Amino acid sequence: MQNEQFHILVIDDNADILFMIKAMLEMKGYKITARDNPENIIVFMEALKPDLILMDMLLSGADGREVCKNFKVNKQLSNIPVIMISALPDAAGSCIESGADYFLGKPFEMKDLFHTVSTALATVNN
Amino acid sequence: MPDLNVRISLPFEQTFLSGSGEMRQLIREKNWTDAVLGQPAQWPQSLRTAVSILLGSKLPMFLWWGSELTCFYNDAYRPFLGQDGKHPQILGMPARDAWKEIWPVIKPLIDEVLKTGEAIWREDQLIPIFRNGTLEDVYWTFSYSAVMDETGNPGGVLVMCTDTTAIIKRKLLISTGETGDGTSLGTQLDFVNTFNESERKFRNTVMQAPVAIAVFRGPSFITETANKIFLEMVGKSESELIGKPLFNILPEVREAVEALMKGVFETGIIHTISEYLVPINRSGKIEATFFNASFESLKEADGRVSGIIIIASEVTHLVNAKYKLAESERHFKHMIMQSPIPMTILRGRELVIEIANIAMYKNIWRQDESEVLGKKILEVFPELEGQKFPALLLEVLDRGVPVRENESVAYVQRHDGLKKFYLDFEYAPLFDAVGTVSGVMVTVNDVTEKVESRLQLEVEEGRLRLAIESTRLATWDLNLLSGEIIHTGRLAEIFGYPADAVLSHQQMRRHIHPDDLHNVVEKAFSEALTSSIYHYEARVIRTDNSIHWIRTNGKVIYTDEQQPTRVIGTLLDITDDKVIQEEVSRLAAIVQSSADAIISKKLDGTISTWNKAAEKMFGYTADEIIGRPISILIPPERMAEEQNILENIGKGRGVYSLETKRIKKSGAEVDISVSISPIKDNNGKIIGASKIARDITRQKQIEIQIAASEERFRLLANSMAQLIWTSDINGKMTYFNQAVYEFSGLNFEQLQTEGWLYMLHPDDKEENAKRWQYAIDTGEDFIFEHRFKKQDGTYRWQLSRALPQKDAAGKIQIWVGTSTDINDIKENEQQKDFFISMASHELKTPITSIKGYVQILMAMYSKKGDDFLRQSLETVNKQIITLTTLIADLLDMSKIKSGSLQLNMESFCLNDLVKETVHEIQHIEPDCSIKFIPDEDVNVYADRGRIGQVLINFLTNATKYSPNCHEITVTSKLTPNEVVVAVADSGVGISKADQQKIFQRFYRVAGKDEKTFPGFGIGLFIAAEIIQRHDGNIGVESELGKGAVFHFSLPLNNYEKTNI
Repeated sequence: MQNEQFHILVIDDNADILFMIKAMLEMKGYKITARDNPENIIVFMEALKPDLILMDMLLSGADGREVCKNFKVNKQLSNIPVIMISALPDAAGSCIESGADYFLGKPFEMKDLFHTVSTALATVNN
Repeated sequence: MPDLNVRISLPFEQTFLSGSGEMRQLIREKNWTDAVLGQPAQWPQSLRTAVSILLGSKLPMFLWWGSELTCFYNDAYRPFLGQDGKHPQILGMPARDAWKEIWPVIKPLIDEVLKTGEAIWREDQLIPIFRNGTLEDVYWTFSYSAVMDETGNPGGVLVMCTDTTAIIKRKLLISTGETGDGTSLGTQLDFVNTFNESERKFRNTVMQAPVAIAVFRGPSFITETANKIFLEMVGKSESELIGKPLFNILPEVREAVEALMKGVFETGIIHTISEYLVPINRSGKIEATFFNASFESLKEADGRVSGIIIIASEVTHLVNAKYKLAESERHFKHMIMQSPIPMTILRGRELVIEIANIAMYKNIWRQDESEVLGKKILEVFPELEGQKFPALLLEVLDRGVPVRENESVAYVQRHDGLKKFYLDFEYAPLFDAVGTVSGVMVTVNDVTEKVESRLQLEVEEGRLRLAIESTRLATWDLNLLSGEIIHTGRLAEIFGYPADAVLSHQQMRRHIHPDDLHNVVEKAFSEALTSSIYHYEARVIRTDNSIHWIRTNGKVIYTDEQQPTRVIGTLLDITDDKVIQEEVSRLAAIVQSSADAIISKKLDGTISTWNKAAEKMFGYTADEIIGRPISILIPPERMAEEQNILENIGKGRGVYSLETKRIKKSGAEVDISVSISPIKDNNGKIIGASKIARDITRQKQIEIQIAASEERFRLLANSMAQLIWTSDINGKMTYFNQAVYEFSGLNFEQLQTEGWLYMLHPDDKEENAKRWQYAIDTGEDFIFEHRFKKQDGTYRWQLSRALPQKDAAGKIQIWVGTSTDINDIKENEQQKDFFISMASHELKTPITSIKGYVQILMAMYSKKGDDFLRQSLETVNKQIITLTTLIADLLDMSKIKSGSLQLNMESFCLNDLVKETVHEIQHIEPDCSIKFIPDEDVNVYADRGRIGQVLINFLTNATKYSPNCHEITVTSKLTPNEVVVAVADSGVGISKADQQKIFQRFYRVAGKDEKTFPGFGIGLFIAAEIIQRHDGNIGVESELGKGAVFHFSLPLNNYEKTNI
């Protein structure tokens, strides 16, 4: 499967970072949908059906972990892997607990992002 | 027993000052304490009589008495001193001071009188005196006459005088008014008139005086003048007496006074008598009357004595009162007389036997009353001279303190010779009215029989001992010619053989201790051959190899030719004696050398032994005090204590470490700690007590000092806001300062029982108890941060520290703890931690953004061959890594400080981690050459991220401090227990001094030229913290200029070593 066939939803309330991640992943050829808020995210997701969700843990107006929990109880969405990113130290544990599959601390190396994304998508492939 | 301290009061002694009159009152009220003459009660009789006459007289009189010529004067004299003059202050004053202004005039007169004893008469002499506020010219007609004291020498000068100033002034007025030679019939008449007037005045004074005054003329003492009182006194009318020889009218007084009056008439010397018995026929009956009187000569102008003036006062009633008092004394004496205990009273320093009871005569003195009464004790018992009793009696007289002794030895002359007595006696002082000791009451008990029977018993005991000893005595008979020896069975026994064994002389010699054979036995034997006396004490080795002491006494028998043929003698086993003797001398040496006073006393309280330390402590030598009662060491108020001790001793109980006071010889008190235990004889009978006393004066002083110092520290502790407490070595709380009570609202009991735990926050209790117990068990300092509940229910963070206080030997005495309120600090720290946490998060967001874009740019442009752009982006990226590291370090720092640095432990291959990290750094620092030389692969159980962080820190330091970055070598090394990772660089190196501090916070090594390298310098601190949390070690080896090797180790103990 080629990277172009993967559709990744990126959610971050910081527009700069959102654009940066989008740019990075596009460099690898992924198809990116970027959102700066998690409003109606379930409905949105059910329509979009992305292969991977990459989201910041702290979103304006919502806790990424709560949002993640909602995905994971939704049968249609629960299989979609989630990568949670955060600048908060020691957040990894709580993110994994909330159902996230991967955690990436901010700031991160671009190669680490690519590595995590490809690892996560590999599971989708299988 | 009568009360020994009864004072026989004699109040009549001072009655010469009783009665009315200004001067009497002044003398009575005057404080005579510092006067040369002393208290009136102590004045000699002669002075008392003189003063008594003076005060009783209506004639102006003045008296100078004693060495300083102390001034006295009477009410009649007092007007002469005028107003604002000498009255009353010259009373009791030395004449020299009292009569300063006329001293040159009167001194020669006084001296003459005192020297010759002759009276002086002066008429109209001008002697100015200070009175009425000015120095007035006063004319005096006066007589100075000597008053004899007890020794018969002039003791004072009596002045009788009249102030004739007014008369003289008038006379002078008349004479100055005259012309011519200044004399005229008129003036002479006037003079005669004034003279007569003066004479009349004098007569009137005499007639009206309240004392008896009479003037007698000529050798047959024809009565010239007698006042009313005199007439009443002798029971005669004026007409019966005047103009007639005294003794014709009053024949009954001749015997009493004739010699006296004649003496005065012939010598002209004044004579005084006191309480003098004169029988007088009054109203047809001879009465015994008593007088105080002075007999003074009357002299003519030529100095010839022409008559006598008697001034007298009757004191019959006073004398009678005195007898009444003597009656009460008699009553006291009666009591003594009735006592079954031998008693006597000795008076004065002569120790005159005043009274003694029958028991005394019968049981002690064995003398008749008539032989001893009224005599000096030493006259009756001359054998007492040289014995201690007279001196003791005088001591009681001098000191007024009773003396008691028991079983005191006295030698008394009996019809059958000097005999030894044992006496219990007591000498008690008897006081007179003025508190001086006038006599001694002696109570004696003859205990000779008792003592002798006891001594007899002791002698009997001695005999018994002798008898027993004799059974232990062996005898022998040595034939010097044949060498044969005959001995009793006892001798064989002494050498350890059966009684029936027969020993040869040689056999016996073989038993002698080798050390004594030559030096003692053979020496004694050869001496015996010449002196005939054979004696030695030596050791023998018995058949059972035990060593015994023997004593041999023998006598050499000679032939007629003086050849020694036999030695016969005795042999005694004295081992027990020797042992006891050694024991005794050893004990004696111990006692003598002891620094504590060791004293023994008999049951009756007399001291029987006294060591050197006791001499030093109490000041008495052994000779002075042995045989004297222990009570002389005991302060009077502690006598009950001694009684209590004696009771305990009597019951066989000791008294231990009693802190009390005793009196030294000097009278000073000494603080002692004393232990007293009973001394028993061989039969277990208590025969005395031993005392061990220690001078604790210094200790007491130290105790006081310590108490003061403790008080100071208590005050200090109480003034502190910190909580301060102490505990004993078992952790039991013993003290809390005021702040603890105020903080907790609990009292000492509450705090001591459970309050301390009650105060602790429930979450801290377990850890606190664990740490406190650990400190108690190991003696290590206790340091803990915990929360204490205030009395308002809120909790405050406290930093508690407790340090053990050790004695000189290093043994813990107490724990001293403090708790400091760190609640505010804690809160500040929590806020700070929160702030750092927030700040680092906020910082990371823009960094993430920058880093991301830089990497995008690098990815986009690296292939385009623009080297400058690529290098620029790499530099930016590197700086971002540094910045990120700093933020992470800051966060870690705050976590370490708050104790919230958490480790996520997992098992991983350490070599893999090192490889990855080296690779990463190599990637960032492509100019460096980093080499990794791994040992065998091993899995460690650790926080992978944190160990990576340590490695990154080591490697970035290596690159940072090796500016040229030649070569960095990383090694891993396995030992049985741990794995060591080392990072070696070839940089500037670190000095030894810096190596100590490098793992501390905010420390950074200075680079060349004192330029410092960038960074907060907290990296190594965090690294050290991380490694320590893993129970590993971190360190550095370096020399300045020769690079450095940083290394850390991780333990393998708990983790499986895995070969991959």
